[in-house]
Amino acid sequence: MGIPVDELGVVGIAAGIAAGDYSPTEVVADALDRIELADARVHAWSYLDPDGARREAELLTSEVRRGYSRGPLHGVPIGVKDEFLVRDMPTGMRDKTTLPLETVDATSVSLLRRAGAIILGKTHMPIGDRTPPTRNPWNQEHTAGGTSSGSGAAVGARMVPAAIGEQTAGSNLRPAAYCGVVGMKPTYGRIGRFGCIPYAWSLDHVGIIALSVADVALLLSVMAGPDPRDPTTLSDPPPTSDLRMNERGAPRIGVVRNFFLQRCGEDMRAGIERAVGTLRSAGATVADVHLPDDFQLTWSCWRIITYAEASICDYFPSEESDSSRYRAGSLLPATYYLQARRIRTWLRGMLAEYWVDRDVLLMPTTPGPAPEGMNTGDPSLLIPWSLLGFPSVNVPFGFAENGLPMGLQLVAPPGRDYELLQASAWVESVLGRLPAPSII
Amino acid sequence: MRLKPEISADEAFQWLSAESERRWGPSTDQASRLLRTLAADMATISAVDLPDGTEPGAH
Repeated sequence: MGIPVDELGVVGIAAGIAAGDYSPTEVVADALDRIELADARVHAWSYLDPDGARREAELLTSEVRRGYSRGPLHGVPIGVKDEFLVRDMPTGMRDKTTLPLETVDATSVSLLRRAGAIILGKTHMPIGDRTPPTRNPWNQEHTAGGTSSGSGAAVGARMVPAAIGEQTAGSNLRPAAYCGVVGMKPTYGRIGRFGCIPYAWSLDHVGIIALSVADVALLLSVMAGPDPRDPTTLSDPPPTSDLRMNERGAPRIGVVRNFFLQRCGEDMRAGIERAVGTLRSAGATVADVHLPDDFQLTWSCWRIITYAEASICDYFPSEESDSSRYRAGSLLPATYYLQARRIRTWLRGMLAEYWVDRDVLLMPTTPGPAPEGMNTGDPSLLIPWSLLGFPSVNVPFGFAENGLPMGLQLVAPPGRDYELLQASAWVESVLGRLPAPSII
Repeated sequence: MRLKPEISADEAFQWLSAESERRWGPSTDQASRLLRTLAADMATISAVDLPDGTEPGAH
């Protein structure tokens, strides 16, 4: 454990490798040591390839010694949710008795490798109706969240500085919030979904979990952009990873006063008010926002679209379990599916005005800290932005009375991922990053 | 099941339950609760009058 992962993050590790302070071989050995030490309690990893990671690290180390860099992630170890195809690794979400080793990489994995990242392995997620064994690195009696459970826990425990996840309801930001780290769900279509096993096509977003907003920005700059194998990707080029914070003033923040805080516990409500007060004192322009009554429709539309789309994914046990929501989704008439999609279009247009004088809207990420037990928690505060495809970021802001992390959610309109990260970095700089849990 | 004129949650539930039973036989309590939730969602969006020309959209 010679490398201060918590302090360095992705940006610092990559810079340290480029400067010759650490070699990729040392960084990977350090990550494997951390996993050895903590994963028996956290259960973040569903599949590890230590030998393959060591071989890749040695190759990258020899390249560094020759003065060659593959890209901005040269030698950085990354975890991948078990929903993505990774060459020479199995994909747990296929949910078959025998899982073949994949022959191709998902687009996001391929782009990470091209930038020099080392894929250490696959991280746990719920498969079918089965919850993952993953535990919260802050308290193993509690969930790490889901469905990107292992990705959140692996980063939260500092086993790796970053991991990728996926969000259809609240699956990327929720584990990030529960584990005290940063999570981002970009605009729908910002990162190609090829090789990410679909759950609900028009709602699935590739997500990023990392230790800081700057780390997320670096990964997004590598993973975003048009993907010829995913026709839903946006044509915009990837944003730069340089958030130009010295050119950027304090953000204009709208604090959403309806729909979200009402669903929260006292810990979260009080924590959000404290965080808002701190941001205002630091110079942010803060104003209250009340979203229109029709915003309530987002939850109904999300269920109808998700259940209908997920009902035709053949890896869900819709024929084995009559309680399955996916079986119920297959009953929905096409007229209702289309009506829900029309309402989504209408809401996206209607909501644009709420950012006219603001950079971001602020609300809690989850109703409270990670619950005790195996249930992966409540995604309800994340569902509207997954439905609408608006980019959102979890920024940790403090701890609940039980010692578990809490996070706030910042949201921007579609396409403003870069501006969202700028505002998030400012908020992070004011509120401070959370310390590492004592798991390692 | 029609979309307009708007439907009630009970009406949608009766329809979903009948379809479910026709395909898979009687529902369990858990399946019935799911159908009630979806029925309420159907009633909610059935009551929305959208501007003419609102399309489902690519996303």
